[in-house]
Amino acid sequence: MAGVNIRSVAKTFGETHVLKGVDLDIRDGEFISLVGPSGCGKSTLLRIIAGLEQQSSGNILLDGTAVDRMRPRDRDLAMVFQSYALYPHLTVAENIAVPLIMRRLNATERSVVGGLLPSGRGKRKEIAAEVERVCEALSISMLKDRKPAALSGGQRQRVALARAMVRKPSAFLMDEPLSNLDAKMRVQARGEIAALHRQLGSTFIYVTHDQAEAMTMSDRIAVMMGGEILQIDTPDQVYQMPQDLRVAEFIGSPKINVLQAAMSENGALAFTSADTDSNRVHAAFRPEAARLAGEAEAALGGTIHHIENLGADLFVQVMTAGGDLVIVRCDPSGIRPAIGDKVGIHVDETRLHVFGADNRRIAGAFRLEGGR
Amino acid sequence: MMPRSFAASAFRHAALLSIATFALLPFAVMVSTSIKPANEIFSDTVRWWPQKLAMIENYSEAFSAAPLMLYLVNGVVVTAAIFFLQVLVALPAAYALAKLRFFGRHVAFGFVLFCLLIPYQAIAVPLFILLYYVGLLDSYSALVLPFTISVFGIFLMRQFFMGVPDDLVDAARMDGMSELSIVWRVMLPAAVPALTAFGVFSVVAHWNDYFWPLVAVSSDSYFTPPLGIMAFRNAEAGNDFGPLMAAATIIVAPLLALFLLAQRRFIEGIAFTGIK
Repeated sequence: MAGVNIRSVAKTFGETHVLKGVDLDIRDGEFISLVGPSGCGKSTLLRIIAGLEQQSSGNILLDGTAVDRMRPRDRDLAMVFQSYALYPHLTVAENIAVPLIMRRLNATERSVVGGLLPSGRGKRKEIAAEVERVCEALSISMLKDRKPAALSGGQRQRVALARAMVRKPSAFLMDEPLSNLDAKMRVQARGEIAALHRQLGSTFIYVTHDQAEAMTMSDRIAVMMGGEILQIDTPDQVYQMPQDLRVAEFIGSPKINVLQAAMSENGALAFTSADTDSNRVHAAFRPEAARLAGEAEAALGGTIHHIENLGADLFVQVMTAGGDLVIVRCDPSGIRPAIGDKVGIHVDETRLHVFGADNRRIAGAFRLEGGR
Repeated sequence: MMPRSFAASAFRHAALLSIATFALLPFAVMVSTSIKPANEIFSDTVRWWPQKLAMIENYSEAFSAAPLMLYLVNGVVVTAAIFFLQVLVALPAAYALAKLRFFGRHVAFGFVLFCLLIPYQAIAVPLFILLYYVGLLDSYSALVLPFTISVFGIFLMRQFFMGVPDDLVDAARMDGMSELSIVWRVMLPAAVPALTAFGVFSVVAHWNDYFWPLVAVSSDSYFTPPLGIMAFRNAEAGNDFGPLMAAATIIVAPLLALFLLAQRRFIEGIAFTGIK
């Protein structure tokens, strides 16, 4: 068990700044996701925590102790890789036993003749029992004698998890462990990993580019972009109170609607794409914060361009007069709009997010004023 | 479709067979001569199978005229020692060149490539003088030591290791392996196909090597098989081709057996299908 503290960690490769001074405090037993588009530095940060890569500056603290000079094996962390990285020449049981064998057995006990030493044999028995326990916990006991080549993607992912778990590390590092699974398996594995976290109570640091994975599993989400953390918050907060336009755009599916608007001194907003003297801002609202209304009675209007029917939800894409595509969530049981209809869009002002030209959130209450 | 593809494949096979026959002809002559009595070897008619079989005579003569068994044992000792030491040096070196980032890595690899261009005959004389000063001439060491660092082996294994996923190396580090453990416990098992290929090259080259043993050793207790064959050429009785060819056949046989064994490993040895 350990908390992880990241203190202004920076990483540069020549001229490229992969991480620009990242600060992050991860509490003991927390499930935190590092989420962001590819190339945002999230994997590099994870590898620096693991000790597989050396930061250019800054410190990593595990349980309050700086571990910057420590090798990966001494940091007591376990990692699950995107490719699972199972040893192809070893069986499942042997794969899972490796971390224990490398730590508990000394060099002679590990060697070929080591099996004959009484001390080595006792330890090997213990290890076999522990491997068995982990296999049972993940229900992979029947696969123990197979080689990785003979396993499906989901099975390999479980073996990789088992290999990480067997040592009871103080924290788990996961580098997109679900991205090689098909969509159905991924949803199932998501639930399993979350359950595993609750059961073990260890710290989980989970890297993903899939915002849905981050939203569904984490206690907190750190949204990274361009080598910086833009926001660290609970999934609810990140979704409902994004502090940065890029966070708002990255989290949520379908994507948040972002429109240009002009803001006057008193907090009145008007959607416009024209250049005006007044303060120009980005006004954003999620599809569920809007509803279709009569053409005349709403601040925004347009023509229905496309309708996505997902069964439980209806996502209506409206092309506004200004040429923006706005997505509105509708209840499929209500009146079904039709493509080509002229509609108004009523936006819930309490769920409107306003971002300045620097992409940062502008706090306050806003009022929408007549449209175009 | 069927007859046409049959004709095409028949043609392919005929072409391949004729080339194979051409390549194997000297070998067939060797085996054929090894079972002929002396008078039939020099007869003016070509006969693949002798009228009077002299197989037992020739082969027993091959073993008694010179200590052929000793030469074979020498050959096994020398080639095995060379291959073992080559692997011991090449695998860690190749791993470092392929997977570790250190200052001068590219220069080091450049040197490896450069050394590939040096024919070993070119450095035979300096090597000979070196071994003379160290006092190792005319010994197993003289036969083995010059070949322990195989730049070809380093190059070949490095190219293979480049294809081993970095994640596997990182996983091994997380699991607590030292860099050397990674070489022997992860990279070596993964590299069996490449290692087999290298082994065939190395063993064939050093089993058949005539030049260096001729330079390095003088007492016949260290003779390797190719040097041993010369015992038959220089025998007082003149060129005794029957036993000579019998000895040659015996010397080639282990290589053939080895190659047939290794060939199966080549095919099975696709070890990396389990990674992704």
